[in-house]
Amino acid sequence: MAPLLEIDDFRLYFYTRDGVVKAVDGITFTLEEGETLGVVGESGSGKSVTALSIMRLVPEPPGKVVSGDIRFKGTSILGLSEKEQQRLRGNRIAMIFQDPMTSLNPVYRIGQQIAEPLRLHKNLSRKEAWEAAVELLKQVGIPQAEARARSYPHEFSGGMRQRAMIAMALACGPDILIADEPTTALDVTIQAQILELMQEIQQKTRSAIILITHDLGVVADMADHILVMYAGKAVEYGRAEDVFYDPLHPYTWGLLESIPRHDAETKQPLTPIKGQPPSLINLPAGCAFSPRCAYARPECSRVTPQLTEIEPGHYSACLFAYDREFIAQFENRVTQSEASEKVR
Amino acid sequence: MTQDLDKLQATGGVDLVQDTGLELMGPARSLRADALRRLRKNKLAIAGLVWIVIVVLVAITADLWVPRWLGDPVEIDSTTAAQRMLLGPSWEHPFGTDKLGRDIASRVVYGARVSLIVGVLAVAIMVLIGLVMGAIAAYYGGIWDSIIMRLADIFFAFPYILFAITLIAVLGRRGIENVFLAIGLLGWPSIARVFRSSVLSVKENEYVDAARALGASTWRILFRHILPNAVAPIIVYATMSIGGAILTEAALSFLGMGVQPPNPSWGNMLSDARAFMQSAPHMMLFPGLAILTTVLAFVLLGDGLRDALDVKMKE
Repeated sequence: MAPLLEIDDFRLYFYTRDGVVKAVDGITFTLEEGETLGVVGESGSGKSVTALSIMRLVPEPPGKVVSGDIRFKGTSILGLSEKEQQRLRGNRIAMIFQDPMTSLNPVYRIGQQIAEPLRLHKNLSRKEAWEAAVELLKQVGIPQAEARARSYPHEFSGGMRQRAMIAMALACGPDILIADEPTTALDVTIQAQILELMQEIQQKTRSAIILITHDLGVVADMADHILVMYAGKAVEYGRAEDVFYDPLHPYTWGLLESIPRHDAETKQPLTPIKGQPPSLINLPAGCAFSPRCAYARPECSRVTPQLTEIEPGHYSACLFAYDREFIAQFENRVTQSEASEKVR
Repeated sequence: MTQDLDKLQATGGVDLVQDTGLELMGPARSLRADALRRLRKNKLAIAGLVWIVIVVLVAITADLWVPRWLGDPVEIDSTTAAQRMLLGPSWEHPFGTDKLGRDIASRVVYGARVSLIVGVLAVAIMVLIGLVMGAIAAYYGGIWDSIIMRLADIFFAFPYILFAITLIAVLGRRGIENVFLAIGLLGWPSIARVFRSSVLSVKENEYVDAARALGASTWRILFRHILPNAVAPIIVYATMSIGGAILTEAALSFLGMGVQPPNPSWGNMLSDARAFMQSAPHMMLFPGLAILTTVLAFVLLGDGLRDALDVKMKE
């Protein structure tokens, strides 16, 4: 049977006046039922565009699919008509947006907005959809759901709104839930609650989750697989444990090192990744990360590395990922136990 | 009925409690209730609203009492006309009489009918065209945006009154239909502009993306998600435009292109009064005051609505 979602060498460029922005430049992964995939990377690495591409929500033009395919249960979604896409969106594939403060329409009651996907896809009557919406609000942990369903978004706090957004996304029992930085706009305490809620719901519904974040700490607990993106390309992909404990790309090392440590013995400054993400119009020659890479060698700016399977199921796009000595540089700097401490 | 509700909802009209069949329990206040409460605090806007209500009531009920109490606005009683012409205000004729002995108060009241009908219908036409044009320009963008906005620019480039006069000359000087038609057809570009910019800013909101992510169709997004959030400036602009349309009608009638004598309109009454500016100033005073107060009332109400509908003004 075909996997739930297959993305195959997918490339999406934006054709702008300043040049071609290679927002997603050759991404390949598969997602199985009930699986959680963490997509990690800096701003502008193409995480969100990948997510929006799965929803077919990238405006075209300026966006254009250059190559590759996205298949949902074996059927390409790139060839679907607008009507067929609408039938998929919010129904089989749902999405939670980053900022719950702006993702709810201020003129409608919360309950109505949660009822909307049910009215669109399940042909429920107004009353049935409303009752279902109240039930969903209960499920996402909103107290006094009957009364709160009648509230307007401005009467909800950020955490409650994100819960409402989750209820909305889950209304039709989607196969895939895409969460685009669902906790970035929330307090740290609320972040944990929202992530817990998503895990709980996943255990109940068995839907697959694509969790997009720039915070490795967020995906640590949840993800089965992790895809690390840089400048529109996948630089590392593998099972979560492998990526965390045996990272095979200097960019992933940088991300792991930049997580603030609570177990540091002495006061230590944070270790950032130096420099800026490159312009997606003028990518550096060779490995796009090489100008910022502390371990870069002369070859790096000449040869463009490909994502290759280094260990079974663990892929890296570093020219030297094969080289155990090269990889050991990171392991020497941060011992494995420390790395695992940071993540917890 | 359900369809009607859908339609009203699309314009943000209906209180949404009723279609859920549930009573409102919590403190949930709709944006509309909030706006009404803020409007009530604005004394000038309420004064404007009260004056508009008075004018509307007087205009609607005119047939019941005006001819009996004040005299016919159009008919000339030739037997008494000579003694009754150009009389100043008195108990019998509170606003005085005109050069043909007709009661000016009666003519002002019937003139209010013309002004209100022209004002409201002209604005209805311009809002209808303006909303559709503005929505298409903003939502589809690109070539549609360019075509519609350049068309609007062309309309703006013409001197407004001259354009209206020309249009009426082409349509024929028949009655008030062509007056409000002309004003409405010429007025849409500003509504389209206001609505376009409003939609453009609302379109950027994440809830529009969220609605698409739920699988809503383009039309549903446009009418159910964007329109209710973008319509506030139009309500304000339309209210003020009624005042503007009344003014334009008065100007056209003054120039002889609007309502034709003997039928009264505030504009053609002013035109009649010109010759008697010194000998019978009341002839000019009362229609002039009627125009001034009514237009002012619409502008004040519009101003109040702008403050009331502004979400940022929330306490």
